[in-house]
Amino acid sequence: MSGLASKESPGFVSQDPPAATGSPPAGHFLARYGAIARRLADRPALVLCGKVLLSHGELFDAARDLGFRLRREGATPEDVVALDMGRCPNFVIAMLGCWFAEAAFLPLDPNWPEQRRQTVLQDARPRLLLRTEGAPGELSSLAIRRASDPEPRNNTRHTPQVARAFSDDGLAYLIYTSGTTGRPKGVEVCHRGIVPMLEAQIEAFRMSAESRLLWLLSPAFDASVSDIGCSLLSGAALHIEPRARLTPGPGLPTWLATHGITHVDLPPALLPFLPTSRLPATLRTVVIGGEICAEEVIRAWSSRLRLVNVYGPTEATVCTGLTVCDASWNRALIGLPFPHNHYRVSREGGEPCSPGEMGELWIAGPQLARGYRNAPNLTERRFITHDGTRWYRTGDLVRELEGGNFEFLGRRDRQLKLRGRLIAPEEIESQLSKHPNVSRAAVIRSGQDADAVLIAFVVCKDGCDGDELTRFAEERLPHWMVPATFIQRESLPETASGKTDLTRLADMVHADRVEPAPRLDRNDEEKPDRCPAKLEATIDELWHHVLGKSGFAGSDDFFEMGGDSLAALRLSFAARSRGLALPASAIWTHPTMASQVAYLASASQRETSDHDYCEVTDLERDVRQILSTLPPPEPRFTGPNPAQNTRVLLTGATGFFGLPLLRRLLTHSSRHITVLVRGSDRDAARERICGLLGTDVAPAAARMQSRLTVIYGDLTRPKLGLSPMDWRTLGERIDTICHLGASLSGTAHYHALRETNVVGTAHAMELCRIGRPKHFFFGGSLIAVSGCRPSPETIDERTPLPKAGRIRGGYAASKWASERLVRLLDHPGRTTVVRLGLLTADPDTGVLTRSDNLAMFLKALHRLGCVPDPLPGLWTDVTPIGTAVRIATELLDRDCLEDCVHIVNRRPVSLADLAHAMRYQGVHLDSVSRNRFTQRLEDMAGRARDQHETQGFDLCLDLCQPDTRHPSAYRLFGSTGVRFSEAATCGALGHPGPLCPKVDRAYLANFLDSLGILRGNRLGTSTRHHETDAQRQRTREERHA
Amino acid sequence: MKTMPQSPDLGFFQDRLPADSATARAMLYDGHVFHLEATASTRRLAAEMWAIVEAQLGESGPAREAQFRLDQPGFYSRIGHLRKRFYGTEPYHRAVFDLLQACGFQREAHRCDPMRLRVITDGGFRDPKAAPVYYPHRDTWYANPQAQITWSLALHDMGPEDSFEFYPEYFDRPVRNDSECFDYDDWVQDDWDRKIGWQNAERDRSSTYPQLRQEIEPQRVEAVKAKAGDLIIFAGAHLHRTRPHSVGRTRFSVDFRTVHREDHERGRGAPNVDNRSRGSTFADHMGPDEIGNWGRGRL
Repeated sequence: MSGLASKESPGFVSQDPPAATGSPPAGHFLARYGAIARRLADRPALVLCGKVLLSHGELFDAARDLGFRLRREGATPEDVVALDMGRCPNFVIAMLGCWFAEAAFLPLDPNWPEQRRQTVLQDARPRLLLRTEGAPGELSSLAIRRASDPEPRNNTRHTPQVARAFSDDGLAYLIYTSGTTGRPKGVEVCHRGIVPMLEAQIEAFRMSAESRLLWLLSPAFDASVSDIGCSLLSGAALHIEPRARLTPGPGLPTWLATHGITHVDLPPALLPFLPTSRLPATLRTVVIGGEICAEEVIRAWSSRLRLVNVYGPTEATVCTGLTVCDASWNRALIGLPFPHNHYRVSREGGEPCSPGEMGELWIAGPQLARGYRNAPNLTERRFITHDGTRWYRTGDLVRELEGGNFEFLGRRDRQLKLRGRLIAPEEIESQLSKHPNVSRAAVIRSGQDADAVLIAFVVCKDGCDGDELTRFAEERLPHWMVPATFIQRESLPETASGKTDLTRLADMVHADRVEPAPRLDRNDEEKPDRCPAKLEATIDELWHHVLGKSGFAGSDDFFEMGGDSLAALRLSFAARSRGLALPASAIWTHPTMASQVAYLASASQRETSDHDYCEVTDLERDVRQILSTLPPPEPRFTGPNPAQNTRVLLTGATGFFGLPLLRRLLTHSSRHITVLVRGSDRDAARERICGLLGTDVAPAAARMQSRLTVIYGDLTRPKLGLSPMDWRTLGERIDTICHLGASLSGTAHYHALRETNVVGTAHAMELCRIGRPKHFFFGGSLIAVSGCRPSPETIDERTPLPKAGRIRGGYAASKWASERLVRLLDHPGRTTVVRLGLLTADPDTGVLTRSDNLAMFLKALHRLGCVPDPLPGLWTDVTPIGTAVRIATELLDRDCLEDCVHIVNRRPVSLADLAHAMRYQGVHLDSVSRNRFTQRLEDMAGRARDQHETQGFDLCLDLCQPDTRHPSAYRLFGSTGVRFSEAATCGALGHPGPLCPKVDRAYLANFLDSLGILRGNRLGTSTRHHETDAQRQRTREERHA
Repeated sequence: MKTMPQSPDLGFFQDRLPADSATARAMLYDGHVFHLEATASTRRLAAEMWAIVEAQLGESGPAREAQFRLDQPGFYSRIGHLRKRFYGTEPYHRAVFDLLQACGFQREAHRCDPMRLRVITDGGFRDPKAAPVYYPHRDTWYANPQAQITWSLALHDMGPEDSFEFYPEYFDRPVRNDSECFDYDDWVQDDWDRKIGWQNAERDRSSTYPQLRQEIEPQRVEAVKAKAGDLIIFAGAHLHRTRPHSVGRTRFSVDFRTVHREDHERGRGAPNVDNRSRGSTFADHMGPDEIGNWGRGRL
């Protein structure tokens, strides 16, 4: 930071910059931030990759210094300075630096195609261009360039105002959005509205100097002004992280927890892909906006934390109003306007609508932009004066509700939102029409929420190539505006008035697509070619297959190109079908095409399947490192521990195994159970648990109110995120810990699971060092041993964790590491490692789940309707979860003295048995060649409806793999070639065994029936299963009672 | 066993508190026991409390002989009244924190369990139902924090024969006990009165009290001999017991317990050598900001 930031305390008021023409008015951002920077000079302002880069005092000084430099370089009030950089700390300095120079900034997205970039630069005519040189973290690397064609000094802009120094009316920024005329339009925003908007947001977001906000959005998106501004004006820390490290799957919550993020502004499309159950307790407020999000998603999120839906067009300074979402969310509310703004719902002629009547939303107030750059006519049309008030006509159709809230109903024009971006289809159509072979084009949106894509219908003169059109569009449009699919038609349907009939086009999308994604040809026996050129072509083809477009550049980011977590799974799947090991976790960490090519190329240096392995020695080192970070144990006696197992802490109580275990502990014992649940507060946590227990059990739980204590915390945080006092009180209250909390993922890398599964285990176990000695039951997994290579042929309770070799899959590695940690961490009490086999849905007890591997696999086979011939010799463990829960409870009842026990079905089931059982029950399964099976699988996988289906098809991929020694990361067939023992468990329970039921034809028939596979060739629905769950559980409980 | 420095005047007992309360607490956690001679304020407090005892029990003779004049239910009924008054009313809550402050312990840093009246009757040990009163024990076996410090105030002069005694060599030596049977949450779940202490034989007979489960042969027994207003301060982790006596009079004293909040949070305190009790009394300790409200509706 040398050269830009000084350690001196900021002194905006006391040390006027020599070249300054005055001080900013009190309402100016710099005046407000100057006060903050003075008051909180040493508090972190910018945090990059977890390291504090600049304090508020340093940031203020750095920006002021840059302002001097910009002035020296010729920047004057009203000049535009282009910021040619992505989301990085320098952007924040540069943005403030421009304001110090009384200039306006113009964000240039580095991912824009050159043609759009040139169009924007020609329109904006910036005087200077700021560019980051070197690594993003190096603050000294800001370079100032003169723009190639600066605007003449005495220009004649359309804007009449001549701004005085640090005026509220001075131009603050210029942002380009999609334009209906075919050209992006530049919105000129003044300073006046920025601070009132930010202050209203800070209050609504409940931000303070203690907050930590993660900035996720592109700086070319005006919501970034809000993220940056709210952070700085509240004295909070703005966290910046390279995109590759922010995995919108399960890894993001872990990252948020690790960094103690309290606030984040997320694209609504991302919400469905983030598991709410794993949101860290630190996360207080999530901000969404820009597009409609599914109601159930909103309800789920708002029950966990403060979810704020913001609304506002770029033309009215980012955000003009907001609403706090709650569990009753059932419509797209945009909230009330901020007190300084005014909304008016107007009819076509400008008359005000009655409450409840649909009309166009007009906005007035200090946040209105000056207008559009170099587009006075458009400005005149959209910014109107009516009854003496200046209004912005948003084009949004809304209606006012009782109580003053407003509901969003759609658009007057054809503009649409896609992944948070406002897009004018006309701009795309205009660009496509410039192709010499295209005579007409129409663009519509297809699909909902995260699955939405743009589809272009084109009428061509001599026939068109979709790839050519994609390339043509990419050269002119930002990536989010490039259609995913091109459909060629001889003519486009028209309405009576001769306009393109968009409704009929939308119907046609559902009927057929002219250019489906190309089929992936594959020869099973062929080894993939791993030379970089071939790999690049292959990756391009795979991306095309998954994203529906082609012609990617090496620097293209899979997620920027429209990929999401489901698409990442599909890509991983498609790669695997080509013999390339590109796990989804690697896609998150290697999002660009070039990095994926490099990843695969480097994998070629190792064995084919090496990519997904962790060295045991590395894990050992990591475990010891985690142990070294723990505080030393308090002096405790190590005498005998006549455990009572009466006050139990249960972690993972909302999980697949934890929930039925909690249910049984509550209904079949008199124990006091404390459950650790994530939630925004204690009430929310309790509500969540009671909701999960189900309506049929909740009364029972209510009867035993005094025996169920719900605390909210976070495994990944030291002391489980509890206050020191709560932590100690908990440690002194309980005598037993059942630690089942873990992230279960078949695709995540070890590092994505480490915080929850390994560090979380250490945190839970630390509790054993407080108060009386405790019995620590650790929910381990047999995969910790069987997943190792080489793997022993027989695994019994005495089989130690392998000390050498490699272990496949992040989940298996995390279970190895957590069991190892449990065995190394000493405490005065006793530890029992409970290694669980592959837990499966249990039709006998009614415990069912959609995410059970066996269920997903059988459903996938059912959808495929075929199996390869010959069937590979694969075996799976089937440990019904109801049985597992019963065994675990009995182990608790009997105060198990064993160090390690297994809960596993020692009689595995072969794939042939499964296929036979399905056929016997009337499920149609053709025997086909492996190639045909693979093709069918690829077809179906491309049409997977959700993540569970994708995982099911991925499990099926094991059937095409010639190498059965390396089954899928989900490990359905982990019993292949391994024999599991449950001798110690039988000994502890005084039972000869086997403890699990034999999985025979009748059992499988029941299982298939419970999945709905046997009923009318129809897949079971989760709704029906939940009902069955409750009914069966009640029957079962009554029988036991 | 640590070697505990002894006061030249009082032997096992230290007669002077270090000026620095952190040092004092560290010494207490190390097993030191302080016997502070009465000051004007402690003497006045003891006298005030004793006057209340006398008003309740001394109408027709010495209060210390009331056990012989009243029938047992009547005697214990009056004792119960006294106990509630000392334990649950504001003046005595305030007195605890004033006393702490006077001894150099910052009141804001502590939470306390208020004053309990100890009533040790002549020959009381002969009643098997009252046996728990005389069990050798550590206060920590009752789910009290390891950082708990007990302050005992003599209301009248008491000799070693009717007071209580320490077994210093067992301070950091484990003894076999059944403290695991004590669960604080169960203990107070139905009856917060139990916090006040043993009430009467009939009522608490079914309750489980942690007991020593071995014979001990202490080489050293340190009994307290105190004058009215003297303060005995010790860690709750000390193994000690009330002395059974037949001196022809009832012994009365009060004690209260304090916990330094930060010490407790940080796990500082006397070593835990054999305590397996569950739960924690700490949450029910009173902070100085709760004076006047604490225990309302529960006592």
